[in-house]
Amino acid sequence: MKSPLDPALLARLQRLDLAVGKILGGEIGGRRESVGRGSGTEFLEHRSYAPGDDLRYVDWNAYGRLGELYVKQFTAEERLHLVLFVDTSPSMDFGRHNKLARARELAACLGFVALRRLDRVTLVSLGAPETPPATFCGRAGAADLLRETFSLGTGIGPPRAGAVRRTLASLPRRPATILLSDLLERACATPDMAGEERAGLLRDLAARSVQATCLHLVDPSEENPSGLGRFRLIDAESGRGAVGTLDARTLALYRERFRRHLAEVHRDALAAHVRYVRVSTRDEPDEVVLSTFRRAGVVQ
Amino acid sequence: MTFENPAAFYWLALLPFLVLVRLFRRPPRALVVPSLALWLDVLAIRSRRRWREILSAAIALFLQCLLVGSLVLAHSRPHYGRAIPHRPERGDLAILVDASASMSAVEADGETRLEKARSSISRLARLALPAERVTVVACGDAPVVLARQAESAAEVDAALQELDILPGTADLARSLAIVRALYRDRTLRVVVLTDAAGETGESLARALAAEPADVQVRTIGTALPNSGLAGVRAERRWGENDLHLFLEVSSSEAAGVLPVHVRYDGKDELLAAHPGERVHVVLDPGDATSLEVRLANGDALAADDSARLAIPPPRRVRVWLVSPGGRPDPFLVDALGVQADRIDGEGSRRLALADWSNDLLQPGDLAIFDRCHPPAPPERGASIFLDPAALETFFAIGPGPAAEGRVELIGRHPLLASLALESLHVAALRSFDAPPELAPIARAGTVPLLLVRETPLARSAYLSFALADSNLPALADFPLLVRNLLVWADALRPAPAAEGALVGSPESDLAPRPLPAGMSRFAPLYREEDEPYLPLWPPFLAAGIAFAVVELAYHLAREARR
Repeated sequence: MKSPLDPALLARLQRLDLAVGKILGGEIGGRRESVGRGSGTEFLEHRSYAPGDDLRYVDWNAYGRLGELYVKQFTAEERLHLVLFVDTSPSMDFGRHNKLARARELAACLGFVALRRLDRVTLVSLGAPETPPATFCGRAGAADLLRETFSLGTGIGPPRAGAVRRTLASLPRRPATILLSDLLERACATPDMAGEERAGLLRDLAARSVQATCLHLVDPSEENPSGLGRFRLIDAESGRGAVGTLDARTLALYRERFRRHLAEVHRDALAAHVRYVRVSTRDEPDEVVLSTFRRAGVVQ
Repeated sequence: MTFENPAAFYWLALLPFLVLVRLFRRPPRALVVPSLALWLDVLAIRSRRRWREILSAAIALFLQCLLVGSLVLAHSRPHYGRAIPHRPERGDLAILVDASASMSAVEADGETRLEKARSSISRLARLALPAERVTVVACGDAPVVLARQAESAAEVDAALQELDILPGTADLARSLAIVRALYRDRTLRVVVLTDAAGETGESLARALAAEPADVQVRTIGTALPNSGLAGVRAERRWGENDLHLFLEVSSSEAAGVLPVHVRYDGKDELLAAHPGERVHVVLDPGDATSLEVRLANGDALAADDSARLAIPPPRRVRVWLVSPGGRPDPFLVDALGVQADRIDGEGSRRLALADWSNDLLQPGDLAIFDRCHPPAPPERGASIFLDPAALETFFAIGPGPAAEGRVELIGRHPLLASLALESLHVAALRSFDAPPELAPIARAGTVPLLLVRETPLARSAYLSFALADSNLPALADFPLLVRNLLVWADALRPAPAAEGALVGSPESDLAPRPLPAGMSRFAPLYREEDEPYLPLWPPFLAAGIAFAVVELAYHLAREARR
């Protein structure tokens, strides 16, 4: 199958790795260094022989020089489990550079990087509850990951904190999580309610992950809308409508409100210890991955 | 207030549309937003200022209504004063302006009526343009077209520079006929500007009565007391050196007697004339060739206070002297020579009978047939036959015994004026039976000596004896008889120069012209002044522009606030 991603970009992605540090409690068999000692290929240190040690790890050269038995110890190599939460709510299907399309591309890139490192990747579509999470392992799963990622369609509702919580609770180990979402609030009775729901989502994400990252997708057209006159504004997710006259003053107020929204999201992410990266859909995927993500420490 | 273009009010129908457009704005366009929550926060803030927007929209609507209303009012061309009919289609406006001398009268404000007419024409033209093309005709004896189908006010103004008093009476009827002929198939509106003085008003009345037309008559001039010469006529009768002067004065006031100065040949005679009565005086003009009549009153209209007449010269008769072989009786030639001041020496001719034709005889001419006659008597003109019995005649004069006896004059015929003829002797007198159309006026016994025939077109006198057979040429009465014959024959000519001066003409040396029978009439009272005319559309237009500017500024201010 021909990859939707640029082959040149894929080639450059092969040199990247997810920056998650040393993991604890991961699956054995990966290529990622664990905090514990194990049967990896990387020599770590010597220690004195103790009864019961596997004689295969005795360093006989050292015994010949020193006359004491020493055992070679190696680093443990584990497999990282990366869960990609892609927000497929209707609000993502918006923008001059469609936010959902950009989220699919970024998720594919990150998943591809993880699979190249023999990590396990689980793709979760937030907003489409009927779509079960799909898990991919090893380099052989890269093609399936790409296909599955680019087949994600627009969901029917906003991302729910419950869906994130349930998904993470079902996993035996804590994974690294990346949330790709616009994090827009639902039209709640009060702004506080909407903010609390968003903060809860981020808290759940951080509490059950070894490393939680929030990629906040923002389209320039929603940041700086245009158009003057009387409009019936229709909410993309709920279908609710409100009539208003858009003039320069109203647009200025909106821009100010949107900036406040961005600041609130950033604040909530920091408060929940979630790594926060704001991504503009105007930027191309290679620029985001190779530049923005590197600067933010998402990849290395 | 009058509206010249009331159809403009149809534009007011825009106002309901304006309000409806405001009330029924088009439905808002649908705009899908990723999250309504953020927008609701903003719209909630904006809704708190909603009443200001409603008030602002109401003010804008009010200003727009004022704008439309002002422009419609301006377009309806309101004015205060006289109504002027509106012509929506492009037609022609012909302005006939009375350019007679009475228009030179100075009004109380120091302006002449002609200057007032200029102002009126300029105003009318500006009102009519560009819907109508403007033709300006100055009416005098002959109409003068000053501007024809002018399409700009500048053209009309240029033409008005040439408007001046014209000779004669304003013949508005003729001018009206000419204008209507010029624009026969076009929509024509005629405005007549006149002071309606003198014959001008009558002429106009006749024209209007003859042909109903879209004619609006506007009178110019205030009611000023005026007196003037209503008519002047000078008449010199044939053979008389005296001049008969007839004059009539008229006055708007109940004036008793008006002093009239008559100046001629260095003399200045003062006459007293009662308004409405004809004055007849007989003057001896001497060698004067002109006469001036002046009414000393010093009123506003000086033009009708004086008149100058050219005194007609004494009239002379052209004589055709026809004789056998062109050799008339020398006594007759001598007698005619005495009357040289009565005979047109240049026009008179001696002819042989063979060269004579009755067609040569014109009215006023006198043919004297000496011992001869044409085959038929002239049916027109005056002719005298001397001894026609000497030849074959066209009426029978039979041979008879010579008459003797005392000459008896019959009646008081003009031919016999101042004649005695008691000493007349005729050697060979023949009696004859006169035909009934010949009336004897002198006879000797039963033989007629002098007979006359008078018809409306012809006069003939017959002397039944030859001058050579009588002692008539030797008598002192002979020249008198010849003079009487000349005067009597000349009576057939139309009345001599019954000429008069044009009343009101400012030209002192105008050729005299005949006055109508009964003299001219003069309407002394001028009509009331023009109604005031005050155009009101400029302030409405200015208000409309002001409202437009305010509306625009208000709109810009609203946009700036947004």
